[in-house]
Amino acid sequence: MVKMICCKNGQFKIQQMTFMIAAVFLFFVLAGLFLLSVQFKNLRKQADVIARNQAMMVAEFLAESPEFRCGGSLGSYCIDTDKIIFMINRQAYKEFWPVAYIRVYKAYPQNTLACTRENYPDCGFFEIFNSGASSTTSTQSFVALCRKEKAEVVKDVCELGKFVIGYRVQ
Amino acid sequence: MKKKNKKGIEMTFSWMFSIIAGAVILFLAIYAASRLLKTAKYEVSTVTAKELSIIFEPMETGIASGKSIKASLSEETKIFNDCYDTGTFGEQRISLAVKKGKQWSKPGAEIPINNKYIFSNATTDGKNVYIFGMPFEFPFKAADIIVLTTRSYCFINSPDFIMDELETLNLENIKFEARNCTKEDVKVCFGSGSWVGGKCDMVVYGTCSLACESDFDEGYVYKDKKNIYFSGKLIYPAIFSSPDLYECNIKRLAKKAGQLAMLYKDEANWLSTKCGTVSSAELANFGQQLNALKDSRSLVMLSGQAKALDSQIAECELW
Repeated sequence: MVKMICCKNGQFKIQQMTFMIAAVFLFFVLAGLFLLSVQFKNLRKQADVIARNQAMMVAEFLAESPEFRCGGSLGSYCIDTDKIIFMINRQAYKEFWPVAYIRVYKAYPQNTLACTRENYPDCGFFEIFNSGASSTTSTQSFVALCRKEKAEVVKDVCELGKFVIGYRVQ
Repeated sequence: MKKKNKKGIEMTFSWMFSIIAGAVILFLAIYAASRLLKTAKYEVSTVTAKELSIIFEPMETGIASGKSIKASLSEETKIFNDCYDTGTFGEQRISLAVKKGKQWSKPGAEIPINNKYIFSNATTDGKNVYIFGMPFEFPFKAADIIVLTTRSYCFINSPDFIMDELETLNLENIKFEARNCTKEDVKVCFGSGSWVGGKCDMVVYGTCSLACESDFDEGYVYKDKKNIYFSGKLIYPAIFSSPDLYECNIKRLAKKAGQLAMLYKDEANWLSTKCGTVSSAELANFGQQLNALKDSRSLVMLSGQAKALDSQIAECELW
């Protein structure tokens, strides 16, 4: 009889310890998961901020890249539409820029017709590139859209336009 | 005779269990903390590399002749710059490692960059990073070349135009007076392999002889027992980057110039009904040659063709 009491008491202690260890282990796991989720959230936030900064930088300087800018003496923030009409869906540039999409809109008159080689220049916007990313936001800057027109002499015809860069958000 | 005490230390089961469980928990906690610390270091290196890659965006020069920036990092940092010339435009991958005590941490994740041309040594370390950008025109602007350095340089017998261009950029890490050179400086000699102060770390030779503003409009740099060839503004990347990285980036630049030549060819065709432009056939041929370029020497050999394209008088300017 005495032996029985002794062993039951020991078993109870082992059970108690096991529960204690499981509780401590669970506590550490939960604390770790909480810490990781906080860290992951911060990382996501940081990634979004970096992506936005990059898109803003790209938007500011992409108009100046040789694929877009006007030739000759037309100067800064001028986009050559005779050139960008050939940049639409150009396969070589598919993964060149770290952005979700690049669009160039004519500011006035507003027209929702996408530009193609067939309807240019009587159209509203140029979709230069679109990655097809679903969750995006954009940043934009105003630019001059210039093209060559021939009347009696060849002259540059310029309109006000918007250069829109889309970037992915998480 | 004294009776010997044979009784050992009595330890209950609960004590033993607590000690073992405590040790395991402590070990796991220390292991997790060290892993978290390592991950945090990796994260910091990766984020800094990404931020560094964003700094390159404003180096797009537009109509400016050059731009420079000094980035001061909070810790001694090693920058790894890898270049791959495969694919349409090739790619560069930047990663960073930070110094902790005397040891470098494991490099963070590689940040791929395919729309920039960053010339530097394959690995370079320091707390201050000097970056400058200049347009690469061949004959049209193809891209901006970005030079990244951390070391200090001493230019010996450099031509005036180099001194003027670099002084305008206000770079603190380049000296032009030989008497100010220190032991730590990288000595860059122009025209001759030695100077009164000793041996040079690299020598720049100018070979331009026809229609040149300076001998150094074309030439080659002898460094690390290799000759690397330059034309125009490529003299700076040739000086500041390691030969392999230079050759890789030259191929990438040529690919970019080749794609642009094809774009200008399409535009020239389009405009040909309105006004006279550069010959689209010549542009196509030039583009093909650029796409198939093998090394920096071939690029220098194409510079005559580039000049000929630029000199075609046209009613409509493409670039």
